[in-house]
Amino acid sequence: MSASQQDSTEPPVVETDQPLLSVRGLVTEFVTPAGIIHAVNDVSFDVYSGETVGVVGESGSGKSVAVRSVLGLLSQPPGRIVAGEAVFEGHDLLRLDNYALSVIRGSDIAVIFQDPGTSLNPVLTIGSQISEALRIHQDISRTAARRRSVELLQMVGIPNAKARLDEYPHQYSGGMRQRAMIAMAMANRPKLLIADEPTTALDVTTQAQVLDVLKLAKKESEAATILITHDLGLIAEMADRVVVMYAGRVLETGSVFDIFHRPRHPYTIGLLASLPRIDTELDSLHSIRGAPPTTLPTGCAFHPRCDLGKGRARCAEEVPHLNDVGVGHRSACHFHEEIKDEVRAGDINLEHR
Amino acid sequence: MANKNDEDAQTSQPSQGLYDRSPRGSTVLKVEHLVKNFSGPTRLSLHTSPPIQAVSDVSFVAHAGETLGIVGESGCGKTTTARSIVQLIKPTSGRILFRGHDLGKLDRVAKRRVRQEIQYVFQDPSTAFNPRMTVHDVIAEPLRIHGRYKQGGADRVAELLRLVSMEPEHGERYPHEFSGGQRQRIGIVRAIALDAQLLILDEPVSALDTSVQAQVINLLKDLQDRLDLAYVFVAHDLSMIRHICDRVAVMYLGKIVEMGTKTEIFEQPSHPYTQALLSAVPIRDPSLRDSRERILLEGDIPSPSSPPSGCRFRTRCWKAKDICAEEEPVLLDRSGIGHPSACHFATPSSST
Amino acid sequence: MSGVVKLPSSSGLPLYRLIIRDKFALASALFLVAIVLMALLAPILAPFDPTELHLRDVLRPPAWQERGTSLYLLGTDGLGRDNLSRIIYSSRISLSVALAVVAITLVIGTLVGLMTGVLRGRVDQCFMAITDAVMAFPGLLMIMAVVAVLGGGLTTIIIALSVRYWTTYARVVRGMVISLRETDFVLAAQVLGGSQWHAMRTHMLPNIVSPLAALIPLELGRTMLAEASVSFLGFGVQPPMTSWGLLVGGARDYIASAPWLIIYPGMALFLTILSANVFGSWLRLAADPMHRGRLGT
Repeated sequence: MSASQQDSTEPPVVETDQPLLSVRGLVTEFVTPAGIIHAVNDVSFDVYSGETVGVVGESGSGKSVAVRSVLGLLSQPPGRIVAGEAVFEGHDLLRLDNYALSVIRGSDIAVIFQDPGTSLNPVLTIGSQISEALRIHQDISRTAARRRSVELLQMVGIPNAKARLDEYPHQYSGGMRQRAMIAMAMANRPKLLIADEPTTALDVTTQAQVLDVLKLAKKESEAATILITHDLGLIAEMADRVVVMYAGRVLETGSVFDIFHRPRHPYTIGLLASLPRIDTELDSLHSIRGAPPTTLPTGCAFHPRCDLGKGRARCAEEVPHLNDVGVGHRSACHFHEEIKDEVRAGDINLEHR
Repeated sequence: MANKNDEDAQTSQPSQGLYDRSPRGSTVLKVEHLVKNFSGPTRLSLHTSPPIQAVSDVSFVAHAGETLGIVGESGCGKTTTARSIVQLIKPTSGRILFRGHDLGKLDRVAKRRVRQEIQYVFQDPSTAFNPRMTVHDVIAEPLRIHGRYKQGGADRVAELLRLVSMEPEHGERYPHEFSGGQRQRIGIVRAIALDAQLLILDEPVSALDTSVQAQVINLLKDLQDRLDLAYVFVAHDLSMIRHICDRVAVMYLGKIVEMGTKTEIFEQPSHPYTQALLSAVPIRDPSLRDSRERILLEGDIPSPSSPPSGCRFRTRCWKAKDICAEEEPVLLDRSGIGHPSACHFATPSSST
Repeated sequence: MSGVVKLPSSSGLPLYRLIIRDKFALASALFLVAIVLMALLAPILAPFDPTELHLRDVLRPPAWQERGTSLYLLGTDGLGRDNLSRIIYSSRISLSVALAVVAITLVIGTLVGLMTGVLRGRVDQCFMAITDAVMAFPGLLMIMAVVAVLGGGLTTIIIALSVRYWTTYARVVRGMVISLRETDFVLAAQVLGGSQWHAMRTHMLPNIVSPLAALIPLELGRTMLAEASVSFLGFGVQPPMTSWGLLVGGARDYIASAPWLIIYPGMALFLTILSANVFGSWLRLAADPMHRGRLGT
């Protein structure tokens, strides 16, 4: 691909040698009385240190399940990791026992969940929960832990941190609770931070506050981040690279600019064209027919809704591989070469066959 | 004043055009000084807590063929306002005028008649229907209630299903057998089964997957064009508001802080809250990432049972001065701006 | 346009096919059917008239024990009456009392529940106070009081048990009405112009009937137990009629000497109530479309 593909506003694509986390061929299913649910089907992606990877998908895309499988946070049964590996700093997380995983979780890998209401213990003060996070993984005294907790709360912008340390979660607002969770997550300077829909339950202005704190945390700790969300605005705002998931498969990956300016998969293109913009007005929204599937289609997961694949047997029969379409940019579409035009988000030319 | 020449609700003609439809652009809804206070919970000491001022003196109009958006964050009162218009919530004070008639002063017969013209679309399509009713029965319910099913009701249901790109055979199935987008379409079509002139839509696409939202929005626009419907569209997704609304009212803690056309609000917001709100929404283009001035608000939304004196936004506003605590700024068209804004120091800024 | 979601396999099946998947539920359902048949066919099945005395064969043990004969399969009691026949005929009384009480309490309880749930306010407070009072009052004392006023007998015991147990249905129905009241589709009915009556008839009742019906086997079991307890103590069914509880009570003095007089009526009672409970638990899950998926393959 030629250098003219990127414009000058985009930072250069840099790939360091070894990924911090490398997931390969992950397959996870759920066994229910109603049948087997194929939640994650052959998912692979890499995360390098210092970067933010946005995993974007709708309901049923498997984005949360994939990441939870990697961290051992899946309830098995009914969940079951059938295949794959997830190599973090030389260890395959999927082969570690629960104890070994618990050593890594909270120190090297930290997680922030969607609903701070249920991930914080309501009967313990915020301070004691942060201190607990610190003292599990580090050998420090109670006073030192308390001091560090105050620092952490200050870092995430909680006013009167010292006093608020001894308050309970219900005394914090939703945004503050989420920030306290970020403080807890950053307590042990993790190498990898995973945020699963961190702002979905929050108002827009609160979301802005929390995102600001996340950016700050990222800068201070140089942690890599996996941001799981369905909100493409968040991805555009925060991510360096993007993994687009649908029905448990990865449909496209690339830098955030690749995905938004040069999407090369009909799903990504359709999705971007169906979203309204706040900074400009669109004449009409493209609508993708149908709905995300509940059972995994044969062949390409997206083919029942795809205009490009309409009437083409290959799409219904053969699962497409992730083909290279640019530097670090891959698309799982049999006919990706037909998607020629360089497009800018909001200006998609949808003339396919 | 209120003109009460409503016809008898039992006219049996099944088709549309029972009476004059409001022409495009005419005022269909006028909300005047709407107030709704909820009594606070009674605590153990038998003290009643102060009332929750959910909606405090809200006024706006909606026109046929146009969409008015009401946007705001949690606790702003937009849902309470929406539900008050359809009388699901009884206002504490204020008037709601529909095509000139004061809804609070109608007799029982007229009230039923009006129900055929103002309808409501619920947010969550998975709870909006009786799980034991078929799709056909769901859509037929309004027809049956108003005695308009006997003559050609079944055909009307089939016609309505086709209107939203569904097959008449789908009527025999149950709502839970359909996807979220289809169910929301069923909800919309149930609302226009009679002679709807005004639709109140409460977050109609928030519960749907992103790839499906456009289907429903396009349908709503199409129906509006065809039937000259007036929409009051309540939402928190500002991008969606920008796309579908003609005029926008921004609410904060029970008050409208700014109101104007879509262009005025999105390109020249003058109230600090509106400006902060717009700057907080992530833009779906990574190259515009750091291009805006980001306004970050301090603090949290105050409780609606004890709103700040004077301007309710002053506790989080960077422009706040003494006057803001003493004198509540009225929603006025302040000279030089062009649209009403409730701030002593309103200055339009151009957002990117 | 695609989009029709396939239902998970359990939900689509009619009840009779669903029950085959759960062996315990199936067994209990069949047992209950057997008991009902036994009650209906009592005159054919029972070898003797239950009140017939055989003074020469007093206190005979069951056929397989020493001194037992195949004439009286389960032995005889202190007056020579055939145990088996008495057990068979007792099923009639035990079942009919339970059914009558459930029928009455269902109607009363549902009406009260609907009324308080829909009308709210003073009506609700008043009836809830009554319900609480009835539930708080010691059950046995209440039944004794009713029996004292009305005299013993079948009708009395039915009335007494009904007075005691209507509250269950009232509470359940009231709870369901309250939660249904706030659902979007009931609100939608209001916005569409429907009256309260319309909402009750079209939306609430159909959603109440099913869970309520599923409650019936459980209540039958409970009522049967109550009747048995009361009859055991002597307040319930009076001779010459027999019920299982009465049989067990009457055999109190023979625990050591003629245990078959307690064991077999007791087992009949126990197995019937157990079956009612097992079947009732299964039915509660099966009748609720949301929880059907929980029933195992």
